[in-house]
Amino acid sequence: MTPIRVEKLTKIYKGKVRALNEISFSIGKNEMVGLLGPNGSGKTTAIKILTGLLRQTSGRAFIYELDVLEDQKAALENVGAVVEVPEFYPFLTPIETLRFLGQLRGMTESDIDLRSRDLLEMFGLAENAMEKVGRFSKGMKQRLALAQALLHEPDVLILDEPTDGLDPEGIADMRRILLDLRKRGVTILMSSHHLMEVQNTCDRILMIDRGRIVADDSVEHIAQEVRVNCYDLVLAGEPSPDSLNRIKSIQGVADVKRKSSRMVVVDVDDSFRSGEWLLNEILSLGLRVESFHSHDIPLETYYVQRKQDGE
Amino acid sequence: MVVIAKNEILRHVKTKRFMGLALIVVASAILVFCVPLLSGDSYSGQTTEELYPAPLDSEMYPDYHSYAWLSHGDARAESIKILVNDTYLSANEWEFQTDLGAIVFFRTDYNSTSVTVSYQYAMNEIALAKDMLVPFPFIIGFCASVLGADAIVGDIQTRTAYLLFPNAIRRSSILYGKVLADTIVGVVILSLFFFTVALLSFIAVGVVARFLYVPLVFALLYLFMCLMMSFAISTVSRTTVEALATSLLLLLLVFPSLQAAEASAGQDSWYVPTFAADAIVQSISWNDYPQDVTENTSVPTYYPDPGLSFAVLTIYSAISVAASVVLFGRRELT
Repeated sequence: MTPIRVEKLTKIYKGKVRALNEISFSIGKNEMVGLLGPNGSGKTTAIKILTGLLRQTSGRAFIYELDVLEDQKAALENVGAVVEVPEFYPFLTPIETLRFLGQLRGMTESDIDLRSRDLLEMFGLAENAMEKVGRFSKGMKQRLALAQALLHEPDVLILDEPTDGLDPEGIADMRRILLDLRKRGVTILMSSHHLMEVQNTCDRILMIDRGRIVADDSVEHIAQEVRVNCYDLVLAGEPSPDSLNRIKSIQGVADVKRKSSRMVVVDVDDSFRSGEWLLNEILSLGLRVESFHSHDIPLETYYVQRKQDGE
Repeated sequence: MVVIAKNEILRHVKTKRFMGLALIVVASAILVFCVPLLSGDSYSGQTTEELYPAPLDSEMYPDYHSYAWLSHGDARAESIKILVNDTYLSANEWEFQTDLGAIVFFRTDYNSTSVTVSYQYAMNEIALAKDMLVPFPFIIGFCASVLGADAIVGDIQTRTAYLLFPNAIRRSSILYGKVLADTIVGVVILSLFFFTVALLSFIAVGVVARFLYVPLVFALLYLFMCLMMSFAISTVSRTTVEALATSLLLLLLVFPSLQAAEASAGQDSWYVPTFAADAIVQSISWNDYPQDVTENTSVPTYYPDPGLSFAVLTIYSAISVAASVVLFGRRELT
């Protein structure tokens, strides 16, 4: 059975705003899929429909072939979810919160105790186990949100912006945990607007824009398609105007701008070959280079590329 | 459902909402009880007062020639002693009647004569309980609004709904759990009120109204109805403040206004929940339930029929429960 399947899902808010426009996709067992898109693209709407928080205008959403709208209780039995950044009852401790949710999911007291201890340890909250959640920072709440999603050892994880509010260490921990879960056979759908985050964890990307799926491909394939259009170059010494002109004359270079005394930004055009080739060309001009790296491509730029390709 | 209910009760306790409402309810009972005391009255005691009888010449009372009012309407007839010119009048010299108030009729015309009367008085326990019950339907409406209006929209506004709703649990179970919790809290608060009324009644007049449990039954039903209306409002509201304001407006202004409009037009407003809730007050006189006054009067006075009131409150409750279940089931977290 397919863990997650969506058929021609459409959501129109208040009869006007079309947040989803007949999107269809399915996610196989043990797949880890990133739902990518800018703010307002419809990814949270899709996740909310899959977790029963929203009702679709048309189309259907299934978890293990159970219709979420028609049989939410059964469909969500094996789902762990973090939607947006949830709030917790401020008067409960993390232990009490997990106990409450465990009881709600029909777990036994011994299972709840055992899992709670493990999860709080895993998410670095063991020392805060007896503190009221009301005093927690956003990052701590996000970690607790992830812990509660895993409490009943679900087969399917649906995560909406799971690294929001986490510090770099938390993001790294999260990546490690997600990869570990995938190894254990958990199917994961996570939304994000960070291309790098999805690239580092997922094996497939569903790209959504204005309620439509604009790309559905493996991470590897999409990474190959991404066209870098800008490089940062830090030279050993201050470049002369002549040096800048010589860089500009390299084939594929569209423009060269000085950002600071030694830092130069190199824009490239469609005839550009590769970053490695550009670096060699610059070195062949006799310039000493201290660092050379590409700008991370803004996701929006990639969407534009995808849409332009489509058109 | 029970897990949700336990958490909801804990929420009411931890947020001090339960304590606050309990204090308001008990304080209101004590306040109503204390108002007469603060104005110098007392519920029971012994008093001696000077009477100045007025002459009486009436065919209705041919044997009596003067009369005087006692200041306490709840004088105990057997304790009355009347002194005229340093001599106690024998019992056949006067008669005490309470039909038109506390009046002593004298066989002799004591007009312009100083008459001293001493007697014991104690307010009737039913009248005392009724006085304390009068503001209670209003208090129930307030408490139910505070408890129920926040129930659904509160979770959505504070975003705890994002934790609670994406679970393998039916929306109706969440709703019933919250209803159960709020009903339990409401019943505890209601019981506190009735306990306070009973205690104060016992302290004041040494006895508790025999049928105090009948108003309790109506109060429970009215509380449930108000809670369910607040729940229904909560399921469609955008904010807690909006839900609370709408609920208070409906229960404490719209329904009472409708009731008042019907009363001023001389109509029976049996279908208005607040009119039906007046059974809470009237049913304390269960064995002497007031009857409608429709004859020989320009503006008829209607009292809620207990059976009809019970049915009206039950129907409103059922409709509100059904509306809450449907509306909550369709509520989206946009």
